[in-house]
Amino acid sequence: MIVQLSVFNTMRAMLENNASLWLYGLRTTLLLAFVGTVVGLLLALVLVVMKIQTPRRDAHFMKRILVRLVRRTSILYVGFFRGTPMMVQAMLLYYGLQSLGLGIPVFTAGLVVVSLNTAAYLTEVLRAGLAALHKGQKEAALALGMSPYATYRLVLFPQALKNMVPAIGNELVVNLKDTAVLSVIGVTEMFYMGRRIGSARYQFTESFIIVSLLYLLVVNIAVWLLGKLTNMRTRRASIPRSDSGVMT
Amino acid sequence: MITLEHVTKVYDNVRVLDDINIQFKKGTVNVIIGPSGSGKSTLLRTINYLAEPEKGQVFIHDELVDASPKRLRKARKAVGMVFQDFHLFSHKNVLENCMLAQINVLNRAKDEAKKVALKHLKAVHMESFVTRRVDTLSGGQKQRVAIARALSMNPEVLLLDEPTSALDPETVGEVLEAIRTIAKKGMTLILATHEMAFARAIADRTIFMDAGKVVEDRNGATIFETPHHERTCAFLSRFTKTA
Ligand SMILES: Nc1ncnc2c1ncn2[C@@H]1O[C@H](COP(=O)(O)OP(=O)(O)OP(=O)(O)O)[C@@H](O)[C@H]1O
Ligand SMILES: [Mg+2]
Repeated sequence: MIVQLSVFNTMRAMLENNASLWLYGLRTTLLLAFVGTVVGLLLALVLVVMKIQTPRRDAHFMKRILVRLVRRTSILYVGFFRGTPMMVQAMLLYYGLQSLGLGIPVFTAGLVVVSLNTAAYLTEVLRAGLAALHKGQKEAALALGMSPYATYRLVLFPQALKNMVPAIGNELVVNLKDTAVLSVIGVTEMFYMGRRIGSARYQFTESFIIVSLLYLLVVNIAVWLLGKLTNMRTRRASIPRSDSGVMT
Repeated sequence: MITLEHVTKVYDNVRVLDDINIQFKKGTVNVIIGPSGSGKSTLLRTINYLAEPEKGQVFIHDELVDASPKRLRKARKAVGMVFQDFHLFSHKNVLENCMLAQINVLNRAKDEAKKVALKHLKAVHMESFVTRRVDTLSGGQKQRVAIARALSMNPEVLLLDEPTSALDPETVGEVLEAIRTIAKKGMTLILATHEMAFARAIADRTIFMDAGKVVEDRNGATIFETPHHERTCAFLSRFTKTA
């Protein structure tokens, strides 16, 4: 009982004495996760366009090689970022750039890594989403005279993105948690702050209980908001059907 | 006028269309009948190049259609298409379905596109559904919207690929009625269908296809009364028996 009380008191003191550090860590985590997810999604749009390129049968030989190169690049990109841990990517990017004399701030490096990682994951999701659309949607647009570009922009991407909302939400939640690994290069997110504050008096249990609670809080708020968003969409999708106006 | 010359389409080493030579005249109702897999859909799809023929040419008004974006666009502006499974844009409502391509392809202003769309939706009695999501419509309603969507582009020719085959029996009538109305207005129609009674009533010309070939090509609906070819007889007898 006494031990438990002392843990509680230590945690309270820790929170009160380091409020600005905790808030800073929280802010960094939220920024990395949200901005990283959004930027990653935008990059994924570009990457998936690269990936679905197919050369026309009668296209010029050079053009066909170029198209294949673009496709390959996208495939290699996705393969690399899905095939290596984010922690390793962070080290490579941060220290790699440094050794090239192109040092960038750790936060920027962290944000870039999250974005690139998210992009790789969402490229796959988006590609699968496009593949899952009925091919009639594409044909209907083409038959109406729309260009392939317009078909993707106005018909296929909007539908795939709409179906992707849960996957994007999932990626956001993953990012909220996985940005913890960026502490390896010194990004001052929540994990980093937990370690730093705990190390002052070797009170890691207390500091990481706080870290856990903060993660639980933001992750659950995010899940709750995403749930609301999805519900709104499904409710709109199931307007009761009335048969008025049916011709006989 | 649409002309197909030596059109051949191959899927998996099978000649799904085998040297098709045919002309469709302006203002006529052309009905294509034939057993499943005979190539009716493929024939329609080569006209707007959704299926690119391996051999042969398609002409629309003596202008060659090919895979170049410019000519493709021109051809597809002239030729509208209605699919068996509607293929309405599922992320758009009824009105938006009929406006999207008008704005994007024909560069019409929003107001004008809306006016045109409403006119065609009204003609198929769907004007009271304009704000409805398309997945809340019945099959017959969807197909009528699909017809309005195609007509909103003011095509010269309308391709209809078994427009009633995916419908519940009770909604077939409303779609056939819509097609009949379009035909009366003088639109050139090329219609693949298994609705023999309707084909008979509406056809200016009837084409029987089998195994990728045009087996019999007759004026009006005479094919139903006096089929010349043995295979046509066999095919039609299946319908008269079940009817
Ligand atoms: N994209 C494709 N890939 C491979 N084979 C195809 C493709 N499209 C059609 N086929 C084949 O071509 C043949 C003709 O098909 P098509 O759809 O034109 O026939 P249909 O006369 O329209 O038949 P139905 O009455 O069943 O609609 C069939 O054997 C079909 O399996
Ligand atoms: Mg067919």
